Amino acid sequence: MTDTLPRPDDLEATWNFVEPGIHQILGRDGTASSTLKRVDKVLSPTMYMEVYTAIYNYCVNKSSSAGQFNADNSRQNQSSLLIGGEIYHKLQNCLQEYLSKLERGENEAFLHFYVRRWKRFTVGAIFLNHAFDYMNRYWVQKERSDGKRHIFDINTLCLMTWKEVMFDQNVSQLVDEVLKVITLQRDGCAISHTDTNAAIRSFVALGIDPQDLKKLNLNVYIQHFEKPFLESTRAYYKRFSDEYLENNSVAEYIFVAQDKIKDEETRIVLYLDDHTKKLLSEALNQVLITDHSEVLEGEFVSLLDSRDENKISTLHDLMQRDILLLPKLAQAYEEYVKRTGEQEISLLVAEHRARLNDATEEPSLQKRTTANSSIPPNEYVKKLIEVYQTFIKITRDCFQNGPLFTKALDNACRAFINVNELAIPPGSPKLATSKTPEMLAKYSDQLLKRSSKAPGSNTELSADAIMTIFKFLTDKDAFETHYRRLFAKRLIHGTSTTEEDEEAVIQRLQSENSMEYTGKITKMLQDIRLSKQLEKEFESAVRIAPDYNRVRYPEFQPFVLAETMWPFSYQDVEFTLPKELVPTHSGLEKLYTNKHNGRILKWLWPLCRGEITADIGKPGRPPFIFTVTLFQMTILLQFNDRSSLTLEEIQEGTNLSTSNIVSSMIPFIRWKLIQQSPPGLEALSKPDTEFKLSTPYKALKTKINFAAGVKSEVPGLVSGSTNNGELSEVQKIEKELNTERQIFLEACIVRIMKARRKLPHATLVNECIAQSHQRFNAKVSLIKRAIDNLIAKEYLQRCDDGESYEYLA
Amino acid sequence: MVRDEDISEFVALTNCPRQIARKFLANNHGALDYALNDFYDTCHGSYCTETRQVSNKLLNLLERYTSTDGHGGILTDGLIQFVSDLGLELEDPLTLCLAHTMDCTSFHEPISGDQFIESWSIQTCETLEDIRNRLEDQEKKLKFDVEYLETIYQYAFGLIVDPGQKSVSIETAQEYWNIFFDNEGQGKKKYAINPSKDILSKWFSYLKACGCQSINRDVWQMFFKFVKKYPTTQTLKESYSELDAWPLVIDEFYEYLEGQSVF
Repeated sequence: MTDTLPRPDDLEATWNFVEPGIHQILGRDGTASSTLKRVDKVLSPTMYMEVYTAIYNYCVNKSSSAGQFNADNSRQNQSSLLIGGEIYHKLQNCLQEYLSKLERGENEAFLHFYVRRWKRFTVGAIFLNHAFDYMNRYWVQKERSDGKRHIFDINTLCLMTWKEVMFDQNVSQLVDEVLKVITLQRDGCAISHTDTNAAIRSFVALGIDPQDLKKLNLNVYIQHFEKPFLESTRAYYKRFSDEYLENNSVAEYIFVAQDKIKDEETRIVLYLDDHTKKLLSEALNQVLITDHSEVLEGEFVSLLDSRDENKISTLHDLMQRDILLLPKLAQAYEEYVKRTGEQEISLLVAEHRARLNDATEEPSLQKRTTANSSIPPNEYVKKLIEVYQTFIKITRDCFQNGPLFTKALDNACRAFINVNELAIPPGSPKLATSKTPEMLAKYSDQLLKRSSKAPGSNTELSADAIMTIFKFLTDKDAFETHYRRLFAKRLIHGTSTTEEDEEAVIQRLQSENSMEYTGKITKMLQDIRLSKQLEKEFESAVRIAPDYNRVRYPEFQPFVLAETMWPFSYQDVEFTLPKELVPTHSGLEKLYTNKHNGRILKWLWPLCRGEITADIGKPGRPPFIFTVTLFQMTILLQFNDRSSLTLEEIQEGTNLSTSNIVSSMIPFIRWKLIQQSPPGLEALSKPDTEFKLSTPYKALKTKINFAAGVKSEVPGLVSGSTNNGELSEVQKIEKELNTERQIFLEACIVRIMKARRKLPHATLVNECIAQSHQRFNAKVSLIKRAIDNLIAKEYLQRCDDGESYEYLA
Repeated sequence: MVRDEDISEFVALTNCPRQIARKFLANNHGALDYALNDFYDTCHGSYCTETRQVSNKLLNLLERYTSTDGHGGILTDGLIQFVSDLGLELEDPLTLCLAHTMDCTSFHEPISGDQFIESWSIQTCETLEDIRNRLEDQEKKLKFDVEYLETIYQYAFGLIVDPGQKSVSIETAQEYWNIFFDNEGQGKKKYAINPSKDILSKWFSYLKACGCQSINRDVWQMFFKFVKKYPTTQTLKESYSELDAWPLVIDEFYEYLEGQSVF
């Protein structure tokens, strides 16, 4: 220590003493500091101590003229007057002067210069702050608490002065250079960004709130840097994307855009303040995505066409960044799926038609119309499932099952599954019901029916497929009706694969819809089980009968079916049961009515079938076994007595109508079991035509099914009746459905109105739709018809406004 | 709008003459509870008897139309005479107004003497001349007062429907629609609602095409609101919505027009 400390009460002396130290702390501009007289090169601890002590002494003793250290005095000074104002101003001036004299090196970029000085200066400022610590703690704090907000602690004073002298005057140049560096980096140049990094940090550090020094704010950063930065970002990427799209395909663009965004968000953002993160993303979204959303949406369809999941999901990721764009995309998706589904079905129809035409080589009009109905249900359902699978995969893999897209997929599937060229052929009436439920019912029949073809042909059918399509059916009641019809046939003909399979499907239908929905189906299954029980009971009952023998009581399998559950309508048929079956018939009736008093059995003769053994082959050959309908059996039994009968005689013996006899006879004649004379369809229904049993009968097989050859209507007998018959079957189902729906809706309306007493029309209609959507898609016209009916029946009354209804008790 | 049910209700409760009931209801805009309050407020504690002296002229008038077979009251013949003495046709909306004023519930029921006297006393009519003047007022009302027209229109259904039936034949309905809405036939009749001739004739041909046999009360009522809202096919085309509460037959009319490519 060469110099002695200055007198504490001498401002000039003190200042002169500390000034070189201050410069040393701040750092000389560029040049070596060896020329200075007192301090060498570095700030030695001694010197730092000296500066500190000098300032301390000054602040403590300035007012005491004696210059003595005195505890009492200092306490007095502290309490009365704190010293520091003059030296503070001197420091402030000194800083200003220091900073304004700083000079840039030759060829040095301003940015580099700024950062170089900033780094040094901030270090200096901290030390300076320490050196003036005493003043900070007493004088500055006192001044600030007295409300003098332009007085700062020394560190802040340094920064404020820096802002004033260095920053404010050069800000535009500085920011320009920073942005240039960023642009270069965006262009792909490898550039060290330590300088930019530091510069940007300085912007944050300079955000000082004079009112509250502890609180950093981003005023400087946002105003001077962030704004221009975002602007330049927008401009840069606007130019970039426009240029890119002009020269490249959209498909390429989406990847580039994704890369750019990723780049910005991982790299650029590193040296920005957090505040900018969100804004930057928004700016990028705007310029790279939203501004090009139309082009991107346009590309969406062709990407879907290509089924390129990578591209689709990239596009989705991009669009997802602006949530406002997603609904439109989802809508486009919905339309696309719907259209694709419709197209696929139209294609299937067209293919099928072409195949038919090839086969017959005469594209007659009738073939054309029947083409739709002849498409096998399994192909149709398979196609529907295919489309569904394709898109459920895309929805999952590309759209991460986003709610908007899942919903779009559901809507689209519902649309194309229920409405397509096959389900509702063009030119159908407006209220036509979709064919899909019918097709699906037939599909399930294919699945559950024991097939005579090679086992394994059913392997591509599955209950899962039924359930998938079922979910989307709008007219679930139509499916139930068709399903029940086919199910009934399977049950009474015993052609189900297994009961477990049937039950499994019913179970799934039930859990998908409701107990009520499968009520009838379940009851049918139950009927069959009870019938099996009855069969056993009957069997054991007849066995102990005194007159029992196998001839008197042939094997017998009764089915007792609840009339309303089954799709068979009872028809009164004129018919005399052959005497061979009478004991069985009366035996069962007796057993059943004893067991269930009051129940009435109605016999559905046309549905009965049986097997008969006919020993009419060459002697020595095993007897034939014929599967026949009950009517056929009755006719054949007539031949036990005589080998030749006229139609009239058969009629006498059986009491059957001519048409029933004729339709039963046709398979016999075709398989040459019976010879007709004179031959020909015309003669078939003449009373005096003779039928003769061929004995011995020659056939390749011993088991022959004649029942399958019986058609309900005989071709040629009534001209063109087959077609009409089939049509009327469909119409019958449709009519049945409509009546059921009508009843359902009326019940629904009464229920709603009973609870609500008075409702506006629109609300009532919506409630009805909501309550019936589990079963079918309630059309407004149907609901209105129900309302009209209820008004006529005086359950409801229209209010005076004409727009709402009132419930009448 | 005073509803007939309300009048009956009022009478059932208060046991006062229908005319009084109508008066109170009319004073209270048809609100039954208010009318009843009003009635008991004004007539509380005293017998509310009609103090007006029935004029002899009116009694004479009644005498002229009362049937002579001892039943009393005005039968169909007397009514027809009454109507023609007033210079009206039977198929005239004013006849309907007349019936409405006298509270006829059906053309098939005789009008009792009391009913006749009360009605016209309240209207302060004593002579045919007075009644004719009253009718002129009502005719004016038909022209300008949509609500009154609707009252008469709705009232008409009860008159024209056959006893025990719920709907009127298509021919009758058509005849009365013509009375109410066909303005161009006679030139002078212009009522408050003026549907175009076009839409009416299309409506008739639609009813014929769809094989519609009869019109029930609901369709009758709603048809008035329908032509009130859509007097021409043009307005129909522009703003008809099947989601509104129109009966099905009107929806189907709209579809029929669509199918005929009228729009």
